[in-house]
Amino acid sequence: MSENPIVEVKNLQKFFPITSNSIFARVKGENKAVNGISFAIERGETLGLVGESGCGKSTAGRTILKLYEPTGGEIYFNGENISGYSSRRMKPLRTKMQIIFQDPYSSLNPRHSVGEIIGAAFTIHGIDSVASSKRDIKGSVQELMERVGLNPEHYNRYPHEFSGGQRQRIGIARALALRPEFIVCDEPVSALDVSIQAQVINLLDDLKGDFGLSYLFIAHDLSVVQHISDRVAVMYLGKIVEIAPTEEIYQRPHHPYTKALLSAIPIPDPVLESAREQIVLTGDLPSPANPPTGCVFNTRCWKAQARCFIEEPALQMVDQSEVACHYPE
Amino acid sequence: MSFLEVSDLRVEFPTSDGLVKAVDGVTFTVERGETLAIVGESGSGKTVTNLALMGLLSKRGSRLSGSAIMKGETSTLELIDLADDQMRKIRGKNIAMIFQDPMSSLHPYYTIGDQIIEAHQAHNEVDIEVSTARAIELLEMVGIPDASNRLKAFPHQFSGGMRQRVMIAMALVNSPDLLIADEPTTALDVTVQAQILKLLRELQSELKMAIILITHDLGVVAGAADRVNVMYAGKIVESARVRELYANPLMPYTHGLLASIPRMDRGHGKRLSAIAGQPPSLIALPAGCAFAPRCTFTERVAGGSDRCKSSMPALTEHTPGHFARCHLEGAKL
Repeated sequence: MSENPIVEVKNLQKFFPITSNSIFARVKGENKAVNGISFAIERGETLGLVGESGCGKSTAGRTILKLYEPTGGEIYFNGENISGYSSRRMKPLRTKMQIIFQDPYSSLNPRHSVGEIIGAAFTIHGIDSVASSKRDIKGSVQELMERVGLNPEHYNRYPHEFSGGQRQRIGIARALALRPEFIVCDEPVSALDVSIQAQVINLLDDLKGDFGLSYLFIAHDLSVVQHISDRVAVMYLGKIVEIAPTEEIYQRPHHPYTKALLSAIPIPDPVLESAREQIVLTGDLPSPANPPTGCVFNTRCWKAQARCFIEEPALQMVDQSEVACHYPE
Repeated sequence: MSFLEVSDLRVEFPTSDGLVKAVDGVTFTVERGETLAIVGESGSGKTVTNLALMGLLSKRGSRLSGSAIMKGETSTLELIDLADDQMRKIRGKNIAMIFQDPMSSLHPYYTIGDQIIEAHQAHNEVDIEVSTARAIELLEMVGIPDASNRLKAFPHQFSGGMRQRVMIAMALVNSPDLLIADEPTTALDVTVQAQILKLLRELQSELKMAIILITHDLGVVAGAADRVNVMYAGKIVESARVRELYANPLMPYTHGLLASIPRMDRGHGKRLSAIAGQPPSLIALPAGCAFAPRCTFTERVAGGSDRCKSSMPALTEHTPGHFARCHLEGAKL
């Protein structure tokens, strides 16, 4: 761990209230989407955040950017504790932290041209040094379009005139507009075809070096995450169960859940695929409104012992990995 | 004769922008007990091919030609151009389909039981008790615990993986000869995907049905299919047994597709070899090979890249059972 990570979260929590469906809406319970996670992202690093749907990975990403108000815990950005900041105090920081969304269809306003979508960032933040007039905004936007592999002449086109991969490039250009330091990539390639997916992954990889970016890369596809990340955190039911350098986590997974998750991914090679051993987990993810006591994974774990149902395991070092398990592999 | 023989199937959709050739002369066969995977990107025609087989394309909105002959126990049937009432007797009984999205393909107002029992009642003149027993049997077969009580549950009370199991139970209630599974695991998490694929494998070996598996995921294909058809812009561009295809892809598109997948067994940090450009519009297809504008091998073709741009290569057999559509001499990649 270096002295000054770009982003650090300590015991971050985000609960969503579950209300009854009457006019006297009353809180019946809480959906514990993110339930106490801690990690740091170094400058220039890509941290992969993986897990199944409903594990809280997207909520975590959005809470770090303060798009959701955290229920508890602290968020540090460049050493500054931003967890209690109002949206007005957040605004100048927003130029430094950005997000790329999963669905390139619903995340672009269909009534705005590409130029307006990407240029909006300059207008909203009144960035004079980059663009002092309308004309300069156009120049900066076209430069960005070129950088992400779009034709700058398409400045006046509308999102429906672009394919999925191109739309995702528009989303990337928009995120890059204000020269951010940190980008949350929330499943940026999940909606794309395989051949296009590779183009976008390569682009994100190049931009990271060129712009000196740090990424929080959220995805459910472990092979994509492995490709792009320096370290990987595995989430399950609102908790981080394992966090380790990429090579380590894929070579030597220590948490049973990580092991099962990795073994569930099909390898695109029929010979290897038929030879390898697969751990097929039984059952589904428990409800985050009512997580199991003790270890969150105990309902599906084949190694669970009495202790796992009583005592919640904390993250502890095993080799180079931090693992939350009483009986790590 | 094979169990299902599809030949020169064409589906065209007239639109205000022009004629969309969604499926452009597709020929393939499926044997009983075999899994044929159809792989391709969005818009390659893989789903439309199978909607045509199921008679699910609107006759007004689309133009259909070609033939698809299915061998029954006593007779053979031409599926294309079958009258609606006859198709209705076959659909759900001899051919069944599992759709991609288990969230939207179950009716939210009816219980799971109602929906499975209806599928059984539609093709069997039996008492409702018999159908109920069959529904329970199927739910148990697909691994839903406490099946007799779960019949009364509504779809929203089930998770995505459970709903997909219900879809599978519904599709198998009349023991079909052919199951068309259209991206059956795409909407599911990897751990649940592994469960569903395992279930399909077990059910197939038990029931000896033919499966057409439509997917874009070459990882799923590697573990689940016997043979593979790769589709691009409405045409089959390569067809081979699964091991042969992965070991020795002959068509540059298949080659590029395999190279562009991030793989867990290949270490991290290496640059992916992406296929440049985008799939062509199905309205203005190039005269020659549809993949030529994205292909990096055109210069090596005898006759030069002009040949790829002007004439469509035929689907030729290079080694026994391995077909590819490419001008490249001996298809050496």
